[in-house]
Amino acid sequence: MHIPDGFINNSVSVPLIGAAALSFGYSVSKLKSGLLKKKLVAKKKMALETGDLDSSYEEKWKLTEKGKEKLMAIASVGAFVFAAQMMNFPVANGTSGHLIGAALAVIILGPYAAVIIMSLVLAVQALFFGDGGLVALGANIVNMAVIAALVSYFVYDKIFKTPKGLNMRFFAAGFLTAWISVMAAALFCSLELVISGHGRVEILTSMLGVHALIGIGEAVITIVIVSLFFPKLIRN
Amino acid sequence: MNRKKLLILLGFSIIIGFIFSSFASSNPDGLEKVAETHGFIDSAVTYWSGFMPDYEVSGVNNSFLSVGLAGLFGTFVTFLVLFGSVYALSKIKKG
Repeated sequence: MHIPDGFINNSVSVPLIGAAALSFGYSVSKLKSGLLKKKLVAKKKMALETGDLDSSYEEKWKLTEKGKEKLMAIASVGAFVFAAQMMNFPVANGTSGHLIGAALAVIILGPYAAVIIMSLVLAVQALFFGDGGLVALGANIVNMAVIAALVSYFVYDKIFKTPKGLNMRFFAAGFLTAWISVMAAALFCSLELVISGHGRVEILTSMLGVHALIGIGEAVITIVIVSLFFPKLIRN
Repeated sequence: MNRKKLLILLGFSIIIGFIFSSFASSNPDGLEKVAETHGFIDSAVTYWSGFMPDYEVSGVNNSFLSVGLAGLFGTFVTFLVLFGSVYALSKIKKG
């Protein structure tokens, strides 16, 4: 669903760059507070050696153990999303689809990490591979990093109350979260195309129709990956 | 236990990026197909085609390697960008 430059008008894409930047910045600050805790680190060993009882301590931010695990998970999930997005699979009528990955990122790591992962994957794709436009990067981030992640969070955490075990509730929640996230992204993408004057109802029906199928692929991949690799979610 | 699984996931991702990427479907994706059907595919403009446009390394004659190296590179770069930026984030003093 990577929109190239030229498909949507600047009046649409430019504000979306702003929206993407704000969402990214917000997610960064929320993620940071989840990763770190203050740790008192001895300022100087010498203070103790000289018998200075008033050994001074310095406040430093340190990654918690959970934070280190989360760091590794964010980078690995991101690598997976990039690689998996290259694996287009065929869907009806000579079309193909690929994983978005926001849903699985949200399920494993929560919405803030997911926004960051998806945004940076999209940025790498646009900058290194020309996959998705430059001006359109904001729109692509809004669709596939922000909306997809937000909707995933809403479905998985608010509606299904964050299933954690590998039970029927998890499978249902994972499937629906992934499918709905694709439909939401497709909906927003369609609206951007409609506002840019390419059509109206027919754009919506075409986009939502094909992505209803692609969403099934997303759902299956999401469930498989989460089950195999993350039976214990890495959440705050 | 989780650390090991994360490494397996990373390894799996590298294999997908390097080997399986060549076997991806070359059919147009959903959006492209909609653009073709509704006649706006030609309004696409390329301001920046990237260093490896269409996930192919130029100058590599073998098409499997051309795509595979692009996939390998991209998977690594994504890992490093994410690891590096989140790590840097953890080092910034003020919240």
